[in-house]
Amino acid sequence: MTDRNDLAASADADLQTLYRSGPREQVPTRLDDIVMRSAIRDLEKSAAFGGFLHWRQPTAIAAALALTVALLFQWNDLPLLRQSPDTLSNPGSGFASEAANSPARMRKFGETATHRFLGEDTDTNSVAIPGSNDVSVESHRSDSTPCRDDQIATTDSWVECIAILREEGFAAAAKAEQVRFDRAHPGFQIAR
Amino acid sequence: MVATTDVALRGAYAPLSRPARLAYSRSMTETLEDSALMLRYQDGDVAAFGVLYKRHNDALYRYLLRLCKHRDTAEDLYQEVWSKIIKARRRYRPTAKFTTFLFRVAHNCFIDHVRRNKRHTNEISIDPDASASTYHSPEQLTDELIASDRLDQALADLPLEQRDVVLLFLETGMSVDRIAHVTGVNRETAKSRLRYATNKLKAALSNPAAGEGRDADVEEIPK
Repeated sequence: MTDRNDLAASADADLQTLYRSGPREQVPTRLDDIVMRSAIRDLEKSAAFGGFLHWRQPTAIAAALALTVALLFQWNDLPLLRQSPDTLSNPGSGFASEAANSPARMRKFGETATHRFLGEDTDTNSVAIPGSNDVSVESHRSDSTPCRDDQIATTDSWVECIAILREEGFAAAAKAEQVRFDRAHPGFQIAR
Repeated sequence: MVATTDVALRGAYAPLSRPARLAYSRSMTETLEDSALMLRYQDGDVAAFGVLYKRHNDALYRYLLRLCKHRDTAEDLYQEVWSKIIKARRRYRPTAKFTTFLFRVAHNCFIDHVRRNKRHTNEISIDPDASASTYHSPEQLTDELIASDRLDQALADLPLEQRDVVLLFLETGMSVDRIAHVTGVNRETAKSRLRYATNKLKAALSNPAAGEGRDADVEEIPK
């Protein structure tokens, strides 16, 4: 049995005619206005928030990606910008004191220092690198016995050491128990 | 009403950031199917929503008015229904007729309202200006208007579930299947409710005293 037959059996068409001949209330105008305003507002909201990153707007996506990359670089650079002599541990001795005397030099990648390292007579020099999760740099001989500060050739080696640490990322150095650093001076090791 | 809506539609064009997507002509949108209009609204065409709204606003309003039997409640629910339709536009899929979707939302809003209020009063507070404005004195009433008045009263006296299905039938002309879908019951239940309701209405029309002595205070809350 079709729906039409069902309806004919269960509901009288005359009833429908009578119903439709009765009062036909209409929606008050203010309700129409409220609904239409709501419909418009919803579209505006979508255009304002959803439109910015709409998938059909590659410019917006490119801009967002560029901003993200820029922020990431900025974030990476922050520890270097914040680096100051005060943040270096053991400021009164060895390399730290040298660094404290030339902080600007230490902030630049790959710069070679012209000053000789005039460290004190200690077996190990270490310096905490801000933002490096307390990675310290120690000087050792190639046979793993600590060397005296005055046996370390020049501050160039330290500067290069720090520079490479920075270039290769602090995180990598922090993860390693001991990363052998044997470019210019095989005796250098980077220890956590 | 029409003029106000048109003003609202015209005003809607200015602030939108994607005007190119609103370039459908009014005559084109007016001939489109409901679901196509809803999809266009989904795509940012507020004029399409205006046409869709004008097609169904009065039927929905009358359905809620007679279902609630309380004008303020009906108007609150009316706004709530359209608000839900507007919010649902992003995930709308034309899997069923738009009217089925619209009245299902309306039915659910009403059921939620009844459940929130537990004791749903049976008070009829429809503004007489709107429902009875066609007659001025008993002498002026024609037989048809008397019958219409009786039908209104008999509708108000029906149990809620029966009133719901018969209103969907009378107001929108929906099939039993669609009524079942809107009210969330199976086909046989919807058909049975419709049959009971129409029989009661016919009885009330032929014998006005049949509806008297009803319990007018409490209605069963649908499951």
